[in-house]
Amino acid sequence: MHLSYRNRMIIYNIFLFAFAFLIVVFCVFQGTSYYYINQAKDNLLEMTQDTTLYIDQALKGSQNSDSPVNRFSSNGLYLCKNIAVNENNRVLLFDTSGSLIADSVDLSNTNTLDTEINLSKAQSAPVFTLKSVNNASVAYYVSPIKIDNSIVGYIGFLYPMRELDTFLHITSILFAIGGLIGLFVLVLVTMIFSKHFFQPIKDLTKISKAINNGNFNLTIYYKHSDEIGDLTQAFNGMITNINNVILQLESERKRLAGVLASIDDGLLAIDKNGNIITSNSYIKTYFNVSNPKTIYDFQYQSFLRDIFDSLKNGKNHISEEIDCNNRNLLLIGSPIREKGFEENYLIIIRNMTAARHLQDEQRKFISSVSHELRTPLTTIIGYTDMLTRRQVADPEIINRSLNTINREGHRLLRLVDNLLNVNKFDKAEFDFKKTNLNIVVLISEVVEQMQIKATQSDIQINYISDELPEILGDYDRLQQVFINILHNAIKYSNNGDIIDVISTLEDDHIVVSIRDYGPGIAEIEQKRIFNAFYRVEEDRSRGPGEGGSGLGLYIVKQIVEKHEGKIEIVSQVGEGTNIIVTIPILSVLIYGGDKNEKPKE
Amino acid sequence: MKNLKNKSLFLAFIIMIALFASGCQNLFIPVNVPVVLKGGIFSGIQSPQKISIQSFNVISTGVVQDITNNGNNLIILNSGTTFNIDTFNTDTQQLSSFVNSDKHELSALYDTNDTGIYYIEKTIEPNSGNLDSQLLWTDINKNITRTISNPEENVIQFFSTNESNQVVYSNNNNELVLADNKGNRTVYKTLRDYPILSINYIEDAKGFVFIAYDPVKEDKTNLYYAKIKDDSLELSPSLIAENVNSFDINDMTNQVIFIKSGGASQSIGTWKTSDIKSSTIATGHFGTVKFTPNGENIIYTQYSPNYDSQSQSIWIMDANGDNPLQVTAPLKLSSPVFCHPNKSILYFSAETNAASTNSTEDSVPSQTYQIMYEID
Repeated sequence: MHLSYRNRMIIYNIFLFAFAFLIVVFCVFQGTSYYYINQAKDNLLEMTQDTTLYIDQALKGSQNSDSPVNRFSSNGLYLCKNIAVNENNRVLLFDTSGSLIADSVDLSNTNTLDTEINLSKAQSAPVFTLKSVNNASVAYYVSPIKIDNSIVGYIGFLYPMRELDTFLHITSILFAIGGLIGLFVLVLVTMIFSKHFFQPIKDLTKISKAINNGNFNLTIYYKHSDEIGDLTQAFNGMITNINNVILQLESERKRLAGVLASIDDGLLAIDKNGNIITSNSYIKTYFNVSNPKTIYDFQYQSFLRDIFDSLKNGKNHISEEIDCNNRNLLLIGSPIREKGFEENYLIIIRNMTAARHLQDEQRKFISSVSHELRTPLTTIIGYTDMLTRRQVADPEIINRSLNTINREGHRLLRLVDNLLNVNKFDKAEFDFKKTNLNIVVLISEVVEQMQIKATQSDIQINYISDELPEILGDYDRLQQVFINILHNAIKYSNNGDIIDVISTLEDDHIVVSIRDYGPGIAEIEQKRIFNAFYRVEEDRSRGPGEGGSGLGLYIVKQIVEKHEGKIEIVSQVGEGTNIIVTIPILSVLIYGGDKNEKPKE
Repeated sequence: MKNLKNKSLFLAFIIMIALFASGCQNLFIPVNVPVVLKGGIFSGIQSPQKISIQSFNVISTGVVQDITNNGNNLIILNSGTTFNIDTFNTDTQQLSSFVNSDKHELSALYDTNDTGIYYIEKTIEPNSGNLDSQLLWTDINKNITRTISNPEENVIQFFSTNESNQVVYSNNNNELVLADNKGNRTVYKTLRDYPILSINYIEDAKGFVFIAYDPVKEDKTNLYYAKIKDDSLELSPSLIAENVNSFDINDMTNQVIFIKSGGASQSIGTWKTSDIKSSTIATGHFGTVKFTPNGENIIYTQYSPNYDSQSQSIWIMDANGDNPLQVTAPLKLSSPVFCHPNKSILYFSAETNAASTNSTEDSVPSQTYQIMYEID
């Protein structure tokens, strides 16, 4: 049986009331009975005294020489009747032996007082017995009659205690009525008052529920400073504290989430059962799984589960590289151990694709550079060997050999210069000496210079240009850009081809287009052509000795970008290649560009 | 611990319920178990002394009125078809007629030296039909009869005599009269009218003691004392006690003893002229009270709770209220109790049992009893 607090309170009150009420009833009944019985005893003793005197007077009044005992016996019935009238009670008289000599009421049942008579005879004292006859209290009483210090007989009274019975009867009715009314009032008052008592508790409950639902900006108002007031105060304090702690935790969590989000690696924290504690956005990027709840949500990434299982089995550190969705991923797994907490696991997923690619490029570059360095060196060493061993005397041969050594030496120098340049451009603080310059003059000079080389292959370079505004740039570097581009164009053009160079103004930008009609470049290679150390396959260049360092276009791109410009390639295999360089004019840099890029006066 | 407490409380509750359900059995005196009552349980019997009755006799019919100074003769009023004042010789047990009249004698007293008897006769005036009561004196040899009171005054029933051979009475004019059988009389008036019911006189202090209706609240009877001042017939009574029903003065000690009602019960009080306040010596349901002639004991009557309201038993106790002893069974007393001046003998009158049921107020047959007792 489950009772509400209020009902329990009512029941306790009823119990308490009943308990107190019963104690009162008990005391009243016992006290009254005691009082009435004592009074009855007093009355009976008084009656005995009166009766004794009466008998004494009666015996002494009659002029009879007989002994008082005999006179008492012979006058028994007369005395008995008179006493009964006087005392208004049923009277029984007994002789000294205890046998009945007179009864004021004619009843056949004569041995009613046998017990009392015997006891009284034995004790020579009055005997009192409280009896219940037909639901009425009657005192059975026997006393010796002492006249002149000798017992002449015994007197018995059947003393009805009507007052006691009446009192108890009325009192029990009154107590019953009073008890019922009291109980009713008690229940009523308790119910009414309990509403008042429980209001603060109800308020507390309501607010607790609201707090449960996440509303912490609540305060309970209770104006009395009693126990409930203390509770309310403590409760309010608790709410404030919880609120503060929650805010603190929330900001901590946000900070942590920020930290996790800003990590460049994918992150996965897993508990012992495989539930995801934390993950960041890279997980979706890498595995295309959004909002994973458990490790088993990664259906197609069994390697994650393998790592998790290994960690669970007690491995301390796992690092593994895998290919996934065209990415090269490094997975690092480690357990999170903290005193007092369950062991959790952390898996970090690092995208190694770019790094790998760079490594490949560098490896390729080094091998190509080695190769490039080896070719001129082999030539140089060959010629010098021949000259020293064979003792060549023919001046023409010597001359030719020396020329070749010289040429190959220059080639080596160029190669090394380019390598140095690449190193320079990779540094952020690479210094440009920028001045106002006319790009048309610059390109004209380059075209003129390159035409000499082009003529050897019967290639014609046509340059067409509008009147163009000045730009801000490093003259030598920009010359290097166009030399490089034209050099490539010449290199991949067939004999008798033409190369078109056109410079125009488009939306504050000078656009220079260098178009050749060579073999063209495949689309895949177009994307990588500006990367460092990239080289078009050897067989595509026209002949030996024409292969570059692979740094040319990379350096070109770096220089153009340092001029806030860009370089694009449009090409199709068999159709030729068009390289387009776009550089902003001076006014754009002054009025719309960076403050630091202002031309020096 | 708490559980234990709850359990014990619950147990107590169950016990209470059980007790209540069993009909509240009496715990002090169990039913059907005889109890021997040893002495001392009855609150009324506390005396270490014992009284034994030597004899108890009916000596005459009639109502005893007075006893002579030597105790040899009693005045007994007998009423039947005629009204008699008889004298009874206690030695010879002989009753002799003193006055035989068709007039109703209300009360009679011996004069101071037992030379004659003062008595009140009630007559109905033939002209007006008014009741008239006169005080008369007849000498002991029945030769001379004098009317002491004036014809125009009605004498109050309860009068008395003093040591100076005077009769002390009051009349319907609320006068207090000192008279003798020689025709001398002194009439005293009170400043305010006190309707007097009974009167007596303190010899050595020369003052009246009387019961009168309270002048302010007439349903109350109070006991007053009025001292006679020299050469003044005006008295200014002072209150001794309120709600007083009866009183008596001991001639030897001049002490006043009286019964005072206070609520449900009465108390016996004593007062002397030298006292500022009266003192209470006993409480109970008393009828009359009187000192024994030597002033050492108090004879009083007491109503018995078990009897009808008219029955009183005669008791004797010490002057200070100690050692109450019951002398008689309850009787329907019709006279005060008179003590023999030098013997342990009491005289009193009581209605006869047979007559009590069918009798009119005027002619209740009474018997006069003589009781001899001895206190150990």
